[in-house]
Amino acid sequence: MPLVTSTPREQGSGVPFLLVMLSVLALLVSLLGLTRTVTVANDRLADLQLAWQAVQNDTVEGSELVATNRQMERMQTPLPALQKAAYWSLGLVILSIVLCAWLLISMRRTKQSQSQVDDERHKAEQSDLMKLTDEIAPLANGDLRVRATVTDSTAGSVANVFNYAVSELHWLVGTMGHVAAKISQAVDRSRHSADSIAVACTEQSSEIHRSSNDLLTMSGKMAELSADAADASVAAQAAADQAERGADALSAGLNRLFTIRDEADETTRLMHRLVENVSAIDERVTTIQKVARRTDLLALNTTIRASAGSRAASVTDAAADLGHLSDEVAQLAEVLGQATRDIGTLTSTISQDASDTVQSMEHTNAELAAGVAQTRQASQALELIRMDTQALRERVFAMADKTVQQTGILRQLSESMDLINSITRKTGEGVSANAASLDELLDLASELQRGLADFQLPDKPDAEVTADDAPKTVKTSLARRAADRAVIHE
Amino acid sequence: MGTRHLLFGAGGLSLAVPAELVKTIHEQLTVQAVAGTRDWFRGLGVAHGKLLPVTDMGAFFGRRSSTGHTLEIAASVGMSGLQVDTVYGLSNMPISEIPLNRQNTASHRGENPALSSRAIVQDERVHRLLDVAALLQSPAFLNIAENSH
Repeated sequence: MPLVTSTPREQGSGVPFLLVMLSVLALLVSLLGLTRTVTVANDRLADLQLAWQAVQNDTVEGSELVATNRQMERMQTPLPALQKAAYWSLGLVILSIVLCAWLLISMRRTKQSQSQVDDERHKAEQSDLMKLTDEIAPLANGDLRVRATVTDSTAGSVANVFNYAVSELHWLVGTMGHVAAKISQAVDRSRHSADSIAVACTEQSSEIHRSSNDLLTMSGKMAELSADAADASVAAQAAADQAERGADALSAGLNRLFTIRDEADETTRLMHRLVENVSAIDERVTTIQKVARRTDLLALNTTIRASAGSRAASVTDAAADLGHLSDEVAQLAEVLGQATRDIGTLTSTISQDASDTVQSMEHTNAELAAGVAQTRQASQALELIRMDTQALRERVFAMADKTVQQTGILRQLSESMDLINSITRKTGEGVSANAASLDELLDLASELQRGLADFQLPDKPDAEVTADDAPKTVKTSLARRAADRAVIHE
Repeated sequence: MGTRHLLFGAGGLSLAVPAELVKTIHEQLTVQAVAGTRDWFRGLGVAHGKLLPVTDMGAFFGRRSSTGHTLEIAASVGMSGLQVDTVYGLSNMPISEIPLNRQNTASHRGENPALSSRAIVQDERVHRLLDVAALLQSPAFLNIAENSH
């Protein structure tokens, strides 16, 4: 640390400065006194002008004239303060002049003595510097055992600073060695972490390779599954086409069945009419049977009466029997004629209805044949649909089996991915440890930089140090530190 | 030419009467029931302006009631109407003696004298010849009062 000392020149320059300050102060005081004197004089002159103007205007009376006269007399008397200030000002001006003169003389004499002192001091400093140069000359060869002799001169201050710098250099070398050791340890840990990461990465690569193979297998299976799905889609499309054709055939068959139903309704209506006509015919037949029975009975009675004719009581009775018999025969003939006409009409109607029924039945049969053909076609389409559905079911079963296989592969793949995840986590932990080590290394480097930044080292040797020379430099530093320790212990 | 017979059925019995005794076969004869008479006595009808007592032959012979034609019988001993089920017609087949089951010939009061042992076989049916005179004169036929024995 440099020492601050006052020189004789600096000690001699304080008195003139004080004298100059005193002279300036005296001048200021005198100027203030003159200023005040001039101000008071101006006030007195203004009052006098006012009084003189009042007298000229005749605006004052007797008593006021007396007062004004007194005031003018008072103004004619000099002020003691002003006189005292004028005296002080004059004295101070004289004092200032004297001081200035003495100051000039004193400065001239001081300058002459200072020149002599400087010459002597310059010679002594040159001598000290030569000695200091001789003492610190071994430092150029890296010898940190050098020590400079500390004196009271400027060279002594430089020697003191030099010694301090050498001691700081010792500390710096020691710190650098310690930091280098820590860096070596940190680098070892980083290398160990890197090895662990490399092993983990190898395992991860193996697992990923196996997972990739599984994925390829799964991809192949999925491709087969896709092909099966495409086949199933084709089969489903075929089934849908067959179903559409079957639906068309069924629709056509249904329309034909509707037509057949209408014709069957017409046939049923005709059959009802036929049944009604048959019932009417039955009634007529019943009537004819009754007539037949009555005819038989009449014939029987006629026979009986004919056989008993010989036993008739009289001709009148026989005539009455014959008349009665004739009436009954005529009545029977009328009934039979009416029944015959009705039966004829009914027969004609039945014939027409039967013809219509036959035509309707023929048309119904034709429609039924077409409906049967349509139904057979629909049945064939449904059979094809059934076969396509069976094929589709088999395809779906195959897809289900492959899906089960894919599920197993996916489960294995999931386990592999879990293992990869675990390995990756370990890798991450290793990388984190490596990052922490690197951070520590960075902190150490920063600490080393801060330690070096406090010193003004020569630029040329540092600039020549390269990465290849770094170990050599470290070894040299270690050797110097050992030598320094030896010197210190001495 | 032999005697002709009228063949008929009543209450399940196949019977025959001489055709000369049958005056008329009535298909539907209106009969007025008479109170206090037996159940086989149908009542009184009018035939040819004369009263005609009508008897249910099936019920009279202890069989089911007859619901068919009415034979107007005119014999020398009197007239009567016999209601039968079916009239088969006239037959010229000869009368033959055929041993008959007595149960078929028994009336509700035992053996009926109107049913003879002679019969006419027609269309594999055996028509027993009904003795009209014995029937019309028999006390069982004539006693139509109810609860009388």
